[in-house]
Amino acid sequence: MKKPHAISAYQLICLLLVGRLFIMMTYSPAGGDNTLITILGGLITNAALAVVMIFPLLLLKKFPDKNAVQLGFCASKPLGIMLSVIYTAFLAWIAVKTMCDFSQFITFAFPIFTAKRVIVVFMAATALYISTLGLEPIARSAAVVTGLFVVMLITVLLGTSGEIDVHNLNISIEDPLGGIIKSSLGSFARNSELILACLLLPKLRSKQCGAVYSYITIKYIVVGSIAFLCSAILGDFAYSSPLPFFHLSSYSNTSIIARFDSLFLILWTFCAVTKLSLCIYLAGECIKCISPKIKPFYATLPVTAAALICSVFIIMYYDITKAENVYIWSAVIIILAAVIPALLLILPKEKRSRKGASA
Amino acid sequence: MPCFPDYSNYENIKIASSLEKALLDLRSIMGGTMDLNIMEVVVSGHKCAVVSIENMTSTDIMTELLFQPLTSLQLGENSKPQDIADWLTKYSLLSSERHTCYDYGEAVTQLFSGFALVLVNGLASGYLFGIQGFDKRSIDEPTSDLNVLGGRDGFIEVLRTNVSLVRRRLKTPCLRFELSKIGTKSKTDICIVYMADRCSSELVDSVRQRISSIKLETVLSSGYVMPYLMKSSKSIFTDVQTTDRPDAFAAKLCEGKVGIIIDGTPFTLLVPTFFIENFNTVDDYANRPYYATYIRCIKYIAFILAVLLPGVYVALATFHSETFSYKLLLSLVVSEESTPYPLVFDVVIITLMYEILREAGIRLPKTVGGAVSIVGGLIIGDAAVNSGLISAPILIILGLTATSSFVIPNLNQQTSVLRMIMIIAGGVAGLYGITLVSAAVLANACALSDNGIPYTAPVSPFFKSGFKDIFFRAGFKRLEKTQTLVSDFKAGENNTEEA
Repeated sequence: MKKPHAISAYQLICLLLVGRLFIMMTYSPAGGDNTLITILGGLITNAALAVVMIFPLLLLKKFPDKNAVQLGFCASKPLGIMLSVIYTAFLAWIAVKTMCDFSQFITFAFPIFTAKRVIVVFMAATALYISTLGLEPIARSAAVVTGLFVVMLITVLLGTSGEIDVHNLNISIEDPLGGIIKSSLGSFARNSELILACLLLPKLRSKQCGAVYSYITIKYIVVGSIAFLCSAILGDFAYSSPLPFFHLSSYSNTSIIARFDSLFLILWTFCAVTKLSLCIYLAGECIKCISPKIKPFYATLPVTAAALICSVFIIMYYDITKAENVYIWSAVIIILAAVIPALLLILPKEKRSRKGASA
Repeated sequence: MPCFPDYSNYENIKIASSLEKALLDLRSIMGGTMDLNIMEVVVSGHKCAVVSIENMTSTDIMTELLFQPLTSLQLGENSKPQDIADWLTKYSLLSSERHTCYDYGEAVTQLFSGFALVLVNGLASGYLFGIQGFDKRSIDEPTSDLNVLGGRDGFIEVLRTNVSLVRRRLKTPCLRFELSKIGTKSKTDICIVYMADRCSSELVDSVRQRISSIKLETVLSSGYVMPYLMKSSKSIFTDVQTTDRPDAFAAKLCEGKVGIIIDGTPFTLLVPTFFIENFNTVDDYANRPYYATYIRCIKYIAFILAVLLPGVYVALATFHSETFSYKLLLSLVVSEESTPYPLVFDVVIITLMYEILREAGIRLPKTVGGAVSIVGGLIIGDAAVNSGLISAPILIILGLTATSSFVIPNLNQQTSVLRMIMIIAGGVAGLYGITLVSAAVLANACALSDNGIPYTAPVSPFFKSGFKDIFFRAGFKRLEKTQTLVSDFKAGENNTEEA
């Protein structure tokens, strides 16, 4: 059966990877981290993510064309509305966090940009426009951005090729178990894009299971490699300063370009806009489940406006980094990615099928 | 001014059997226009008339093929008007194109297309013979998309000639031409061209539908039809390609595209098209593959320079000066400190000046166009730098940008507008602004697709086969092994190649 507006596994991986790259670029390491802890912690995190993703994949095996929100509507309208509101709120919060993180770090890394509010307004307007174009353009853009990331990473590495020194890698661990658990928990909480994956999987043309596990593997390799490079080039500085990946690009230079900060900014912005567009698009899709006749623009506009107002408020009066509680984020990921799909699996099959057929 | 009865709905009125009435009807329908020629003649004792439009038919051909055979026709004393009709339609070959019409609508349309109409008293029908002889431009070298090693003939304004130019290159029964008319007043001939074995019927049906949806009164050039063929009117880019080269047109048909030839314009249309194809030329296939690939890469760089260079320069110099090496930064500071206006303003003004001069150069006669370039490029530019109004680096940037934009003439409209937007974005928000605009433009291009064939293929979605010929240029020995069609780039679940 043909799926309208479907994407390929490669595009899904690119979409999720771009979202993850944005988080990685704005990542500030915790005090006790080092390369070994990051790589081992990442291994545990990805194993946990693989387990978490079993539930949405089992759900998709039974209902290949429906996500959790759509299945909720098949079971009962109040449940559907409730799930729609939950997922929309989560996506809106991810959008808020993306905008706040971006404005926070752009003003930190580039002091010349002082108007944080203007930055988020421009970004929200661009993301709103892109989200109204639909999923396929976002996915195709994400594929281009991924290619751009590879090119820029190679460029940055060329500028620092002479500086790579394995002696810079600090692999001594004072409290191995505690450090790894802390690192893996923090790493797990940064995987909110898996919720986006749960909503996107029904739109996939190819095998969903392979796409998810390929993504988890690729993400681990990419994040691990960058962590390794940051440590090998920057040494302890990579884990004692905010934005290690940014410092890697500012440290990189050639005889033509003095610093690569600007390249980092370009990539950073691309990733942020793509992620924000995807969040807004998916939130709009959740709203469309409640009111199917609503046009894409009117479905995404309230989410964008709410996220923008919230972002401006946070930027003006609050520090977004204070909202980063790893326990809460981990719990949210588990609930939205595993618990809700598991509950939908338990619901009487006849009820879902009957309603699903009528829907 | 003579007063004629209302014949506004003449299309469906049947031709009168009385010759006098039929001629009166024709005169009335055409409002006594001076270019209507009616020659009344008696053939084998029956009153007949040959109707034509002045200068639309060839007098020589009409005399040789129509007048001489008709006047010398002897059918006998007992002949009936139907015998003349039978002779005209069954026993003679007066012209290669021959129709019988029963209403004034078809008769008038064909008369205006250069046909001669023969009416016979007592018959409620007319006999049309194609003896077109209107003046036309001879086949000449194309004005756009010039090449060094390719063919020298280009399309002209006459549809039939253009059809023959395509047929000469593709001598296969799979090549199909479908003729129809558009424009309620102009009744312009439009021809859908495709290769039946290469082009999907879904795509041809879609093009047929889009053309039949045209409700314009007049269609005078390809620009009238293009918006109806475009899938999205909101896109900056267009998924309809134009060409006045028969060789390029034939090559694209072989790739499974649908071509549209419109009477009255040498520019034909092709759907669907890919963004990457804007960088391909016919010469690519005459050059060695490595050189063609190299030139294509140069064109990609030229496009990036044409769109981004002034904007990025403004952004880097205004917001990200740390990117420049120390020596370069010093020389830029020295040249910029003498100028009175902000850098972004300087670049906007000089870009506007360039656009004005370019537009003037295009519209003016060729002999004067050169003078405009000298005035603009040398005198104004040199004077502006010497007087300290703008800095010399800006002129270098603009010169490089302008030269780069000439490399990809197909994207001229897009580069001009995007360049200005990028300059403003770079001036307002540095590389952040430029990236935001770039992201929007990228998504805009990615959103464009025709019948499921994405405009940004084979890059995104990625298709390996597309890189062999579209992105790069493989040799013919490799290309002959696997024929790539546009339908291969259809994003869908059945397409195993899509990544």
